[in-house]
Amino acid sequence: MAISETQRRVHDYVRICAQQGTRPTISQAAKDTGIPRSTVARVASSLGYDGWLDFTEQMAHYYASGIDEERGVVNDSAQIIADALLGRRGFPVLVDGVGDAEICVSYLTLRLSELGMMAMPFSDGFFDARPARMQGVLIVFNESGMTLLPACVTANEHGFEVIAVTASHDTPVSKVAEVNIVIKNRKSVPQSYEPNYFAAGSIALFERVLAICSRELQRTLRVTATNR
Amino acid sequence: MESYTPLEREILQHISAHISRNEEVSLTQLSDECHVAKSSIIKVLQKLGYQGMKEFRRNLRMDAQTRANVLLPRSVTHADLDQASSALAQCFRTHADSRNFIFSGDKRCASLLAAYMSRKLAMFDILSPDSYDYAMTAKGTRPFGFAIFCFHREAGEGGHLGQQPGYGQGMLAEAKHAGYEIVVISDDAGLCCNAGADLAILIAKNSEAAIDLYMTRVLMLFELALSKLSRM
Repeated sequence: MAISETQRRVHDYVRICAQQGTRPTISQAAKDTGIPRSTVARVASSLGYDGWLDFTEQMAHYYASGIDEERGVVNDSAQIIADALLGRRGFPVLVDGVGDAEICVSYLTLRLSELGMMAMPFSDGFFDARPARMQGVLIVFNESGMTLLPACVTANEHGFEVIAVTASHDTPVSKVAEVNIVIKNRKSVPQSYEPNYFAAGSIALFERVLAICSRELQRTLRVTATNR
Repeated sequence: MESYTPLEREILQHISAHISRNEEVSLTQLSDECHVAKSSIIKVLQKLGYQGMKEFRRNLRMDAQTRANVLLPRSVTHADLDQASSALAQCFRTHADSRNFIFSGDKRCASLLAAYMSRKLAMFDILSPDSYDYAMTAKGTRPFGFAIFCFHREAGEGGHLGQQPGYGQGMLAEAKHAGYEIVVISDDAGLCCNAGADLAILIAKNSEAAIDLYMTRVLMLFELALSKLSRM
C-alpha cells in the first residue's frame, strides 16, 4: 500500500514537532491537522512503528536529540574512514578532488604523509605502472559526484577501496564508493553567492579522521616499543 | 557498474524522494510504498553500496549534520563573525581593480588557502594571485590593493606547521611599506595586535587539541565574505 495523503500530513506534522523539540499527543495532532483522532492513531502502525509513542519517540530522538547524536554520527563516520585507512597502512592512499575541494587533495596528502602513510595525488598513470590488482584506498572529494567517476571506477577495477565525500547520496560516485560521506552545500553563482562550506566541512571531517589515525598509530608504536 | 531493473529503479526513486525531503524512513514504510518485500529493498541498498538499512540511515543522518553545525565549528572568529566577514568583503570591494596578492608562504597551510582564495576571488573578477615573491611589492601599472597573510600558530597535537616565529613578517613589512592594505588572518592574538595590519581577524582557538580546525575556520570566514561581497 502506497503512503496516503493523510499519512503524509500526519508524518509531516510529527516531524515538524520533533524538529521543534516536542512530542505531540494523538489529540493534539488530530486537532492541528484536522484529521480524525482514530485515523491519526492508525498512522503510526501503518508507517511501521509500534504505536504512537514509538512513532513520536523515534522522531523526537532523531531530531531533538540532534546535536549529540549527530556528533556521534560524525565521529562514527570519521572512525569508519580511519579504520579503512589504518587497515591498509603500507598501501597507497590516492587522493583526488575537483573545484573547491582541490584544496583537500594537497592538504590531505601532506597530512597523511606526516602520519607515515603512502599518500599521493591520484593520476591515471599510477595504475598503468602497477600490477592489475593491488590493495589501496582512493579518497575523492567531489561535490557533484559525477566528475571523478572515472577515477573511482579505475580504482575499483584495480582493487582499491573508494572513500567518497560528495554533496549528495544520489550520485554515481556515491554508488561506486565503499564509504560515502555527504556534506551538503549550496551551489550558487557570483551574482547571488551563498557560502559553500564543502571544502571547509571536508577538512573538518578529515581532521577528525587524522586525529583518530594519529592516536591509533601512537598506541601501536607504544605497544611495539614495550614488546622490545 | 551495477545495472538496475525497472523495479529496482522504482525503489531507488522512492528512496531518493525521502532523501530529498530529509525524511527518516523505515524499511517497512519503504516496502509498503514500493509493494515489494523488505529483502528487495535491502538488495537495492546493497547495490548502492550500503550494507543494509542501518548503514543507509547513518548516511542519511550525515546529511543533516552540516545544518546542525556539528561538523563545522560553531565559533569561527574570536570576535563577531558577521563584522569580520563584512570588513573582509568591503576590503575586496574597495580593491577590486587593484594589484592584490595573497601570501603563500608555507606548503602546509598558507599556500593552500591562498590558492583557494585566489581562484574564488577571480570568479568575482578580483585578481589576487597567491605569491610569496617580493617582486609583488614593486610598483606596477595598477595601484596597490590588499595583501592577505594567513598565519597559523596553533597546530593540533603533533602538528608541524613549519611556521617559525617571524615567518612571513619580512614580506608583510615590505608590502606594508609599499602601500598595500594589510589583512592578517591568524589564530595568534599577539600577532593580530602587533603585525601592523589594517585589518586583523583573530581566528577562534581549537576546542579539541587533537583537531586543528584553523583552515576550516578561515575557509568559512572567506566564504561568508564572498557571500557579502556578491550583495554589495
